[in-house]
Formats: sequence, C-alpha cells, structure tokens
Amino acid sequence: MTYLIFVAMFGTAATLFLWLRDARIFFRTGLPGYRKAAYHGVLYGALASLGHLVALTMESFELLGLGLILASCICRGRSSVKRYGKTRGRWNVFSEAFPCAGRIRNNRQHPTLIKGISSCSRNHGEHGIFYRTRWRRGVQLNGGCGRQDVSGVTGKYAPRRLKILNFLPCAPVRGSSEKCMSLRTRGGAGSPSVRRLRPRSYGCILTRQKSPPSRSAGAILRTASGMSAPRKGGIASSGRFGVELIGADTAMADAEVIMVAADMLNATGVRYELKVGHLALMKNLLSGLEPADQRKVRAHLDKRDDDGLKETLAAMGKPDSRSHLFPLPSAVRFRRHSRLPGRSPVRSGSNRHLQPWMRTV
Amino acid sequence: MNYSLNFGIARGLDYYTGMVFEGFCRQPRAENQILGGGTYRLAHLFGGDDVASCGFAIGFDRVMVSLGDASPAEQRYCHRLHG
Repeated sequence: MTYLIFVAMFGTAATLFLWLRDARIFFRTGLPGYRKAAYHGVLYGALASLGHLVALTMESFELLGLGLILASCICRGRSSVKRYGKTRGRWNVFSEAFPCAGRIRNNRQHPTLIKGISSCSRNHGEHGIFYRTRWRRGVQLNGGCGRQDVSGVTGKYAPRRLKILNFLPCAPVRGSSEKCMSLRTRGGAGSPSVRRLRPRSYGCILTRQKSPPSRSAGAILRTASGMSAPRKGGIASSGRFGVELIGADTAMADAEVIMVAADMLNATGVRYELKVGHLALMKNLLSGLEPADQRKVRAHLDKRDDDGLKETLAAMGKPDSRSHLFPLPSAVRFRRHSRLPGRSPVRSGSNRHLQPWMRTV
Repeated sequence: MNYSLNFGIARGLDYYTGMVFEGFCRQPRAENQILGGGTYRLAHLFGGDDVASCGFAIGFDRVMVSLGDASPAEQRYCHRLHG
C-alpha cells in the first residue's frame, strides 16, 4: 500500500459526494438536469468504488484502480448539467447555499416561498405578495431571492423603491413550465402615487405552456406559419406575461397598473390601441337576466356579434334590450349612457366602485 | 398615454369585477388582442384575504407576431424579466 491509496480515497469520496449532491438538488428542486446527473452519478460512483476496491485489495493493480477512479472523475466532469445560480458564485452552488423551497419557506426575507397570501400577511403586515403555487413532491418550486434592478419596469412609479425577489427555474410539470418572481417595495417614502397604494406589491409571472405534439396538418401549418392555434377545440400555444397588484382597492391603483401595461407595450415598439372600460354599466343593464343569460350576452358583446346578440335576446324574449346594449362599445363618453333607459349606476349611486373610477378618468 | 373608453369590453372571464382594459394591435388580423386585464378578487381562493386585485397579461406570441420584422425600440424589459 502506497500513498496512492489516499489519492484513490480522495477521488472516490469526491465522486460520491458530487453524486449525492446532485441527487439532493434534484429532490429539492426537481430540475431535470440534476436528475440526469444523479442517474449518471450512480454509474460514476460505482466505477470509482470499483477502482478504490481494486487499489485497496490488489496492490499490483493499484494503478489500474487509480485509472478507474480518474476515468469516473473525468466522465463526471464532462457531463453537462444545466445549473442555476451562476450569479451566486461557484462556492454557493457547490455548498448548496442557494435558495430553495426548504430553506426559504420560513425565512421572512424571502416571502415569495411562503405558502399562501395569508401567511405572508401575518409575517409582513400590509405587504401582500403574489405567489404561484406549483407543487412537486411536496415542495413549492417557485419563488426565490436576489435583487435586480427593476427601475426599467417600474422606476417611473417607484424609483429605486422596489426590490425583486428573483425566481428560481421551475421544473417542467405536466408539459408546462413557469417562472415566477415578485416585486415588492422596500417601504418608506415613495412617490406620492405609490405611497397611497396598499399594499405596495407587484407580482409577475411568466408562463409558458407547451403544446402537446400533434400530427394534424392544421397544427403543422400553423406552427410553420407562426400563427396562433385556435382557442376552442385546438391546441393552445401561447406565452403570457402578466403583472398584478394585490390588495389595493382604489382607482389610483387601477390607473397605475394600466400605465405599467402601456409602458411595457411601448417598450416593445408595437403599435396598439388601448381601450378601458368598466363592467358596472354592463352588469347594471344586464341585472334583470339570469346569470347564464348574462354570460351569453356578454360573450356576444365581447365579440361585437350583433347578429348573435339579436338571436340570443330574441330567444330570451327581450329583443328591445339590444338597443340599450349594443351602443356600449361605441359610446366613448359616459354622458351618452346616462340617456339610456334604466337605472344608471352613477346617477343612482348604486355602484360605489364606479364613481371614483369615473372621477379619475 | 393614449387610450379610449369602451364600455362594451366584457372580457371572457366572469371573475372581473369592475375596471377592465384591453389592448389591440393596429394590424388588421383576426387575433389582434395583445393585452387584457382588469380588477378581480381572487386572492381568497388561494388562501389569502378577500382583497381586490388588479392585473393584466400580455400575449407574448401575439406581440411578437404584431412586431413582425420591426425591431423593438427597447428590449430591456424582457431581458430583465427573464433574469
């Protein structure tokens, strides 16, 4: 037995440690790259153990054992694992000192991983945090920590007052993957418009739904031409990005969300038209109908389907209501609606939500 | 900010409670809606308090289709949001 046996022991221990580390990360995060690494680690660990056994028991084949261990280390190093947390440093990744669900769930500094908004409210007072529940093996995968400069997104509204709780990559679950993050104000004095908002929290979620494979000619053509799939009876394939403000029941908050949306679209360079409305008027005009009938009428109005609206109202026995409902999309001034028959929600004050909103507009 | 009032916006979903807004690209296409949002009260369904929320979603694919060959004027939003 020579000093080489210690080299063999070190190499075997390193291989086994890396295997167990990959397996542990996979069980905690569900990332497919680590699953593959954990499976491969079984082979490399066995190879290193065999080499260590050979070096330990057969002195004449000591170099052969070292070669096996060296081969396992080389193969382990060449297997590429898509890692996350690159910005957190090699040592943090190596030592697993990165945020994951088990570590952060009870950490007040990273509330995005706390289950439920109610628990967030208990821990953080007025600061509601948007969250997205996605469970896999009992571990909440989304959320994370870290700061990023988000002044490009909301700097106009809360300059340097937001910190981002960065997201962790979520493992694909049933054909979908999600990335979540939350924006939250640091507290203290902000701009006057932000200061009035309670709570000062934004939530963003980036969702990418992967369409299942389809062999139909229509799906292939749509994919090739870049067209979206049909809504109904087809394959949904769309990427959506959203922002929401939770807990603020004021017209100012609504206006700020609209401004964020407009700024985001402006940043993309797309030419668009923004239309703002309020459902109180339509709900008030439809209050005499059954809920199922209201949904039908709203669907026709949403699609600007005049013929369908006529047929539906005629089937309901209320063909005269069309003259009240169909001018809604083209009426850009609320005064025109005040001439409509029926009980106006603004004049009568029956809807307390509409009045401050109309004053703001 | 340019916008227009439209009280005919019904939104396809029932959970919207008050203010709603939609964004349409100017290209004459069948699916030209690229933005949709409004106010709703859904937090209690996920274990939170029954508080009002306001949010929107942007159809990423539709925006990209609307942009066509035009290069976006600013890309830092998408870049930062992807981390």
